[in-house]
Amino acid sequence: MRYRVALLSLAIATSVASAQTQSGITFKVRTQLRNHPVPEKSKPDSARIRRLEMAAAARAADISTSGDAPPAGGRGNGAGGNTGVNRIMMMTGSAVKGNHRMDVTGIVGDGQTELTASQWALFTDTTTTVIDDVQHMYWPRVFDIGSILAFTGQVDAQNSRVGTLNVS
Amino acid sequence: MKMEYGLKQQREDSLKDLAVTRVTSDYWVVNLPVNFENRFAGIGRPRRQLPDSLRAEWAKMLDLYKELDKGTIVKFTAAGIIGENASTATEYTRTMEMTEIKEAPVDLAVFKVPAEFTLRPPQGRGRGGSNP
Repeated sequence: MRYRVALLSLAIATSVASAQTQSGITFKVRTQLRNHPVPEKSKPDSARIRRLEMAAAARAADISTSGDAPPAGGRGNGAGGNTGVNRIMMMTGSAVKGNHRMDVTGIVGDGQTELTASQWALFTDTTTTVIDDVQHMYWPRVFDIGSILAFTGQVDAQNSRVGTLNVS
Repeated sequence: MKMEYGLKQQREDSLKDLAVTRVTSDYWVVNLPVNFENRFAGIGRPRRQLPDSLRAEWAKMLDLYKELDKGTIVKFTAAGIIGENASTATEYTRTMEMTEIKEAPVDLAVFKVPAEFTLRPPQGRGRGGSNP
């Protein structure tokens, strides 16, 4: 009898050790970004401004001559060059309460997706961590995706240039 | 949701109009057995306080967020233009969709960074380190 009890206890312990599972969900994710420049809605700066700029540059060599393009390319909205992009990323995911994870399974495009083919991401309710299986490294990350985050990034910027906002 | 915002031109002496970003976004929210904030749906909040002139409009956004919090964003589409009136205006569409969602037991070990992996030193740019 003692022998049977011992065997039963061992079986339960082995089961617990090998299966630290929790009820959750699995899923697949597909993201896509397509963009292209629209010259007809662009406005290169006026000749007058250019003349002023050149005159100012002549007076002070250290004057800033940075352009006036919005920070569209830097936060994932994707003004990624002059010819436009078409980026697709496929992932598998799993989630339990408080944690989820997404693993890249395929990338189409120029490779400038939020994750590369060797990376996966871990999420808690408040954090995002990217893990790279090739570099054997991990780091915290914010996925800068879409115009809302582009807007909040502008609000948070040192020299915020947000002038108007309309939401409906 | 429709959102439009204008950025002042970088040069203070510029005579041009604000550089305008205009987007229409749609979200599909499902109450799943396990819900989470889908970071590929582009939801965020500014860390700094908004100027008084923008707070009423931002409050509308927060009302939308209450709807999004009722489950998980399983599909998202956005289309619009970035930087109209700026040097390079760009039209874009962005989509995200979750499919094949199934209830399943999940091994908790998959949510741990492998022990032999090391923390990458900061790269020096960006807002990394926390979430919007």
